[in-house]
Amino acid sequence: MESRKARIVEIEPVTRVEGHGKVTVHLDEHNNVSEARLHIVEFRGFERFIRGRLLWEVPVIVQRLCGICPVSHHIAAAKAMDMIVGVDQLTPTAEKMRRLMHYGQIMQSNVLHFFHLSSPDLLFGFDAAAKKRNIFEVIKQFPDLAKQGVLMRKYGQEVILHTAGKKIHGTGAIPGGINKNLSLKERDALLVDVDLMMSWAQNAVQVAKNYTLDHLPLVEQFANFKSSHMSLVREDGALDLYHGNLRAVDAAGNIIFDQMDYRDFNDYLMEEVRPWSYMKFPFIKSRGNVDGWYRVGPLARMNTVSFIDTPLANQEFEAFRRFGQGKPVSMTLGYHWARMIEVLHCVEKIKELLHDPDLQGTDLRLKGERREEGIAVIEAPRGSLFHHYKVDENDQVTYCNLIVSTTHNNTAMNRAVTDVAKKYLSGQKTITEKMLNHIEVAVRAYDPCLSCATHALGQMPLVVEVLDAEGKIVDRGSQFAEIETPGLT
Amino acid sequence: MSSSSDKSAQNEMISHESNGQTQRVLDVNRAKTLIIGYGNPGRQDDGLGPEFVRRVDTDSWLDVVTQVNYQLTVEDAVDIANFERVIFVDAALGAARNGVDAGSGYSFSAVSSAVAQPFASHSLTPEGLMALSQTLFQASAVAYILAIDGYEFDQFEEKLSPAAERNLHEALCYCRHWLQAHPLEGRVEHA
Repeated sequence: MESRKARIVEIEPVTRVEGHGKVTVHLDEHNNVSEARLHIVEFRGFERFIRGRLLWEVPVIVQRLCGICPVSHHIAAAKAMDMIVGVDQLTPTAEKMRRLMHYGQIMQSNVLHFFHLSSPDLLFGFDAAAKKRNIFEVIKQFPDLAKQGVLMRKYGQEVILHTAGKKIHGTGAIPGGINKNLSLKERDALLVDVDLMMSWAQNAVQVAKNYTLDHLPLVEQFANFKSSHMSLVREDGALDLYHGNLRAVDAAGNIIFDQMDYRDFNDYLMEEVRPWSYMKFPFIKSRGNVDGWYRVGPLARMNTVSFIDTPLANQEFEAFRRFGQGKPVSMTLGYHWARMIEVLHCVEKIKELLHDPDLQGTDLRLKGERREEGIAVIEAPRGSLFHHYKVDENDQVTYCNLIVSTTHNNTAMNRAVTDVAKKYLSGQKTITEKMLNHIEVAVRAYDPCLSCATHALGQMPLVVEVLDAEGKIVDRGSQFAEIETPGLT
Repeated sequence: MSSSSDKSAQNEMISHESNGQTQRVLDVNRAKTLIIGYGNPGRQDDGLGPEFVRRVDTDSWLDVVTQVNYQLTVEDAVDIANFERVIFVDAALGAARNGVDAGSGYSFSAVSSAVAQPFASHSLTPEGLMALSQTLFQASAVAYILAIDGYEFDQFEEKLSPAAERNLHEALCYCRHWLQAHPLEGRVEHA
């Protein structure tokens, strides 16, 4: 006789996202989904770690926060420290070097996500056998695509190496400027392959766009929900990943706020704490905590900006906006298309900068009138990244608050999980791995960075637990099965 | 020839890609062992791998090229294809050690790419990385993993625990002796 008790299905951790996450799906006595939640095991203690450190150390130390996007934290922290050392406008060489570093970072991060983390789902289907749904199958069936992904990622890392001084734990950005320019030798090394990267980036946009258009019935009903969107925009409304003012639009595309100075973000945004989650839930104050949630990241940026200031990416941006018929695109899977448009934009920007003689300039750093508080926002690969610090008269940090992209997307990811769980799990007698993968596909589209966990050997594989109403485990399995790679030694 | 830093190793590879002197660089690197230490030094014992590399560099080990990273990533597959031998150095949870135990507190074992796990994040396992490197870039390197036991991972602190520090010291001694006992063919002779 079948159990009629309410159950909870847990997916822990979610695979192919960063760090540790757990999804709990709450089933009622009829096996219908009553609720679904994404729990992010956020590492805490960074604020304590940073307190007492000297301001000039901060852009380097913050890179310890995240093994995935250390460069984003490096740049955001340096930008906040610019404000503290009284520099509101960097020298052309300093700003362009930082921008080059930033474009390299976004390029390599977006590329890896699309080519290696999401492509198995997109190429083979969300309900393909788990043994097929991985990068080795992509290599087998689409070797050129897989190789391009690796080499584009490597190119982005080389841009970082030449601008930050190191592949990881870079020191390039410092309070008030930058500590190196780009030598002609470094420039020439990066110029060798930039056109190849451009052609691969153009191809990647087509792959993502064609996936969307070829699978419209699926894409349009999969975690497709209306929301507001927020990002930085330039003063003329252009996409600007490094600097600008904040713009938010509602689901219909109406402006909620525009050209908001991010240093006043506390006047516009609030964070709500919920008892079941370590991660906060930010919302737009004027809309309230129920309706004020929003999305950030590539999809949001395509929905907020007025245009892109590089020709090839702007052409693709216009196609994206035509697809949305002038309204914000609300499909969760639209993130992939948007992400590849940004890769193309970054490669165009990298090429433009490599031909700019300012990168060989020697005016690297400025000083101004000292302030006690620094706030910075950049558009990181996953969305808006906020860094906020206060320092005392001894240059020691007394306060630190970071709002990372994944936190901004917290409500949206929970919506996505609930939407997909209700569509694919409700009323099912048996919850299969393929059904659960649909939930993971929805989470992965946001490319959440949960990287606060260590990666040491022995980390638990994906475990799925089914619990009844009394909390008793009634089923347990692992999704993280070994796969064979025949022909390799 | 002394050890090279992450930066110099990268520069070598970039230069061979940009100036066409691929064969020369490959020859130099093939006589060396690539040591990749990975982990986050800001997470206590998770920093064992990077600290291992830092000490190798400080002591200028012969015929090795070093790299550090927070984690293994796909582009490492390109670099690995330029070497004959790779040693991955990582922190390990004690209970997870399953290699050939070379002493207390660490293990040293061969990496097999025959059975690789699909990678689940931006980071890769050594097995997955070797499989990727062999498949996409025809790597022929033999690979080993030196897994050093760590115990403290939960705090944001740039410091190894005393027990991990002891394990690190033993692992360094072991690895140095092992490399001396297993020179690569075609090793560059030093004046």
